[in-house]
Amino acid sequence: MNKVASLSTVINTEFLKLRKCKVLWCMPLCAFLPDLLIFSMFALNKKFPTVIWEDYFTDVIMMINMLIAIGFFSLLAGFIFSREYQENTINSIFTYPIGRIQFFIGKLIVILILISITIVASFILLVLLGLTIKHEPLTLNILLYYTKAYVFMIVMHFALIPIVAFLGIYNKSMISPIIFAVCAITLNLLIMNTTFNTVFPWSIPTILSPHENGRTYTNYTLGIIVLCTTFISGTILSIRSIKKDVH
Amino acid sequence: MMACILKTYNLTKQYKDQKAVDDVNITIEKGDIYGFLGLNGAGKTTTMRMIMGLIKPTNGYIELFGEKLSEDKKHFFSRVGSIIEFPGFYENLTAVENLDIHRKLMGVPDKDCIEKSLEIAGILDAANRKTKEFSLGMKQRLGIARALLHNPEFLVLDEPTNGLDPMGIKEMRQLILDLSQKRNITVLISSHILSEIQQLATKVGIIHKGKLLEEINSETLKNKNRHYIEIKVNNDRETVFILEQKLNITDYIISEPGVIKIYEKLTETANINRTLIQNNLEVKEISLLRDSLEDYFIQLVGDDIHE
Repeated sequence: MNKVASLSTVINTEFLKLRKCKVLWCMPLCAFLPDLLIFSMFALNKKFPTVIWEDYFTDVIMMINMLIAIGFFSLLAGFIFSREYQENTINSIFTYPIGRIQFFIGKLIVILILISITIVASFILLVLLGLTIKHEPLTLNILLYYTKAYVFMIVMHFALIPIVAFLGIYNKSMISPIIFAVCAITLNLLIMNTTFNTVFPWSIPTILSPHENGRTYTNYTLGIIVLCTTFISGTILSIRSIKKDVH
Repeated sequence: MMACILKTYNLTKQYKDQKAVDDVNITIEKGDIYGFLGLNGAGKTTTMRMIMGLIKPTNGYIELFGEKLSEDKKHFFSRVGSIIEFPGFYENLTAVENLDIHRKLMGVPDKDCIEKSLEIAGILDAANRKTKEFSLGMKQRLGIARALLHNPEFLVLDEPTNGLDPMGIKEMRQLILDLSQKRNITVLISSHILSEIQQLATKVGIIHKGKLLEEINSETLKNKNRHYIEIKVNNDRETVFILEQKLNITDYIISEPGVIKIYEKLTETANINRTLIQNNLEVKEISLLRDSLEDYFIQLVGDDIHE
C-alpha cells in the first residue's frame, strides 16, 4: 500500500520541479544586482570615498524594495503557481492523494524559502563587498540593525505573494502576475511620497524598511495591518480559486 | 459477485442552463475494460474529470472502491492511475525526473518502478531526455508510464490514443489488453473512435449530449458487429422450422416480420437458398451482411449526430 505523501514531500517535489528552470535566474539577479551597483558606486565614485554603512545598506535596501523584489518575486510566484495550468500538469497534481490546499501551502513555503535565500544572500554579499573597500568600522549594532531589517523585508515581501499567486491561479497564466508587478512598481514610485504610502501594500516594504528622505512619521501599525490584510485576503482568494473545477 | 470498482449515481454536471453530464449511472466491476463512447463534446471528459475529483458534480455522487468519493477521501487516488486529455509534464525535466516527482507524491518508496513503467510504456530509451523534446505520441506513452507507475488497480484513460501513429495505437491497445488480462487492472477508457472501443472493451457505455444512452456488455457488442445472412421470406415460422430441422441452424433471430438473420454457416448461402425453395418457401432476398457498431451507434444517437 502506498503511503500518503506529507507536506514535506510536497515541498521536496516543488523544489524538484524548479530544477533547471530559467526563472530561477531572477534569484541571483535580485540578490546581487543591487549589491553590485551600489558597491560599484562606492568603489568607483570619488564622491563616496568611504563606505558609510548606513548609506551603503539603505541604498541597496531601497533598490531591492522599490524596484527589484516586487518584480522578481512576482515573476517567481506567478511562474510557480501558474505553470501547473500552463504545462497542463494540473490534471495530474490534483489527482494525487493530496489535498489542493496542501499543494498551495507547499508552494507558498517554497516561495518563502526562495525569498529568504535571495535576501539573505544579498545581505551577506553586500557586507562582504563593503569590507573589501575602504569602510567605517562595522559594529555589531549596525550589523544587528540591518539583519533585523533584512529579516523583516523577507516577511513583508512574502506577505505580498498570495495576491500574485491568486492572479496566477485565477488566470491560469503568468502574464497577469507580470503585468500586475509592473503596475505595482509604477504605482509604488508614484505613491511613495504621498500620504497613502502605508495603505498601498507594495509601498510598505520600502516605508517600513530603512530608507532615504526619511519621513518624520511612519504609521507602522497601519502598514502592518495593511500587509496582514493583503496576505490574508490573497490567501483566501487563492484557496477559493484553487478549489474551483479544473477544465 | 464481482467487486464493484466504480459506480456513479445520477451524476450530473450543469453549466448555467446546459447539462454537460445528465444523470449518468455507470457501473464498472473488477476486471472490466469499460469503453466510454461518444462524439466530441458528448460529456466523456467531464464525467472522467468528476471521477478523478477535478470537477465537482452539480448533482449525484461517485462510489470508488465501494466508498463515496469526497474531498477528504483522496487516499483512494493512490489506487487509481489516470490520463485526462493530453498528459502534461514539467518540460524542464527529463522523463525519469517527471516520474520521480509522481512516485514521491504517490508515496511509492521503490525507485525501480520508474524504469519498469518506462519499459512497459515502451519509452525506456528516452528516459533521460527532457520532455520538451518529446513528440505528442511519446508524451502519451509517458502518460501511460506515469499512470502505471504506482501499480494502480484502476486506470482512467481519456482518449489515450490521441496523437499516436497507427503502430502506436496498436501497441497501446495491446498494452491495455495485457494490463487487464495479466495484471487484472480495471480500465475505464474513453474514445470517439468506435473501432477502438470495439476491439478493447468488455462493456461499453454510449454517451450523447451528456446522457448515457446505453450500457452494453461485450457479448451484446459482438452481436452488434457480426456477419450474417439476411433472408427475406414470406413465412417466418416455416422458414425457422426448415432452418432448424433440415439445416441444423440454431443461431438466428427474426429481426422483423419476414426478415431472418442467420449468424452461422455463412458460406452456405446457396445451400440455404436451395433448401428453402425446395420446401416451397418464397425467398424474396438473400444476402451476406454485417452489423456494425457504427450503425448501432448512429441508430442510438439518431439525427443529432451532426448537431
